[in-house]
Amino acid sequence: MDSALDRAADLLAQARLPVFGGLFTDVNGAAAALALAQKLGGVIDHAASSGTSKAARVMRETGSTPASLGEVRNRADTVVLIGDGPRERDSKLLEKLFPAKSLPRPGDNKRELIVIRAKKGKTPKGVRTMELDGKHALPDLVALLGAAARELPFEVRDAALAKKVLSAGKRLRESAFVVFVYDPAELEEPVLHTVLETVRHLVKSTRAATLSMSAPGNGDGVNLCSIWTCGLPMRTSFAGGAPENNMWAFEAERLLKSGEADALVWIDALDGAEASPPTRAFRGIPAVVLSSKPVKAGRDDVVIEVGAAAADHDAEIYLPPIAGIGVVKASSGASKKPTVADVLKEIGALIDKKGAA
Amino acid sequence: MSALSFELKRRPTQRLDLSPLVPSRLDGLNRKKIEALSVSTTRETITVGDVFKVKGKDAQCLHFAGTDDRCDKIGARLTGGEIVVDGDAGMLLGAQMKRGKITVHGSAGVSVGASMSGGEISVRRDVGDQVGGVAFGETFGMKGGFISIGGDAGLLVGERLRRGLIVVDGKAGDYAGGRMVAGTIVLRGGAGRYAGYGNRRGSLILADKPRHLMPTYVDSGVMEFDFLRLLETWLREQGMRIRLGGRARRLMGDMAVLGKGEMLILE
Repeated sequence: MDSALDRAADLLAQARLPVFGGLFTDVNGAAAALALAQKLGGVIDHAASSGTSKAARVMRETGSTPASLGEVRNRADTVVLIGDGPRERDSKLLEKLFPAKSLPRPGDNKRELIVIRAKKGKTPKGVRTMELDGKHALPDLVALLGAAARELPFEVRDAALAKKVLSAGKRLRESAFVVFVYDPAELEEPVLHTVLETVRHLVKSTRAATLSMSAPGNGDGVNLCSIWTCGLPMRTSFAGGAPENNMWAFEAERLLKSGEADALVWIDALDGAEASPPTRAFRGIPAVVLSSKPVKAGRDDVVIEVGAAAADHDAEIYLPPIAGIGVVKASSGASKKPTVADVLKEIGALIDKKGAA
Repeated sequence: MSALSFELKRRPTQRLDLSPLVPSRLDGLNRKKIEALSVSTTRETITVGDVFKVKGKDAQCLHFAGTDDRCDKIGARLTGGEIVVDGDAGMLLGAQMKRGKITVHGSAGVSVGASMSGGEISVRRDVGDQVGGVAFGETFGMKGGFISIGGDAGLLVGERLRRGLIVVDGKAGDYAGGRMVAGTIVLRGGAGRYAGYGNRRGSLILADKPRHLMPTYVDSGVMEFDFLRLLETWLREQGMRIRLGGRARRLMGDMAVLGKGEMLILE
């Protein structure tokens, strides 16, 4: 164990640009990774940051109007489900949003579900469901619904779809509380903006909001931790004097493929979730792997076994039902395995010691 | 006085931040001081002298030679003078520039002219995504000036364009003119899917009808546009061989957001 830590410290102390990837860890692990990245002038990027990074850019440019899961369940009379992403992220999402017994809601409307371009799936009993699909792609359909909500004209050949879009637009205007549910990893940035623009139009006369699905592997928790630590979300470099964020330049996989990064710290230590390493990540680029599962690694890589957050030790992670960070108790009782935070702090201390010597 | 020139010695081992190499920063510095400027983007310090052979004197006219796609931020925040790049450029070429002229003989990376407010950028070959797009910390894309691209462009040409003109000779990727607020984009070599997505008040001029047309654009018929002739005259004055004519089919959109933008398909 100690020799592994020593080797890891040596490897990272020599690196020109280490990348901290994976980051499937709890908030403490993320804070330790951020501190070490800062010390070493490295880059941080979560393995599921494609959605959070888009959402962060949208947020930075024009803001957002989020609603929590409980608020949607209890108060929304119209739910617009966009794409397959939401149900892929949470297969029981619709059961959660449409419970058999519901609380009093604003407005007199019966609850309704509008599904945009999603595979046929089980829809909640007793809830009127409208499906918008036809030959059009998802971005087209989102735009059509936006136009219909504004009562502006549009041109589609499919008369049945046109009728449905008009009736969906009318429903949005007449709802007491509309919520658009989507996975930011599935939608392209301009589409996210059109959803927001539609919300912004609707709130002039009624209530509307968005429910954005959380990223896997505590992606939102790690992202939030990064924001409160250095002011910037994932895909941030600490190499210069001030941290710099760039969604293109500091994506872990691109850095590894282009050879710009010369060391990788891969963290995969969260119960029930698996971070798939970037293609060829372990080939050629020396890596320090902190994992709670057995790993296939190269001969020169340093593999350190750590406890799984929320299984081997208590963990602070992002919990979608409360749209915030909460503590999850360890499921398998006390374990002797070190946490990600322990290991990274130890490596940091060893690097300091070697630097001073 | 000969142009101050920077010749890349070999492919750098890391991306280079060349934003210090603009006339306003270099004016009055001697060669030794210029060679000592840091251009590194990792904790391994690299100075201008490590990677470039520096020659010439005139800091108002900079010349880069042999550069590649790792040479980022050339002419970023430029406030005047001229930069000629004999090679490729990396990301953020001329980002947030105010005045001056940048000419690249090769290709350029992502975010060319991001949030620039004036001046001129010309890239002879291809560019990456988000040309004229939004720079970090800004809420609008390009806010003025002129960008011309000789080759193809990536996704989101003129993302959230506020003012100014972008001309792409080659093919543009998906979401060209995506979320443009105002300003003008001329696409001469066709566009990918979702052209004009989320366009508010901008003008997107296409030489040919795109294969995929947004259903939230509404046909307003073929009309005569005097401004197209004026634009053609101006572009020819800039040395472009271009014919726009005066007639175009006008489609209004994007109805999903505001619907006051237009797509002009030249007749």
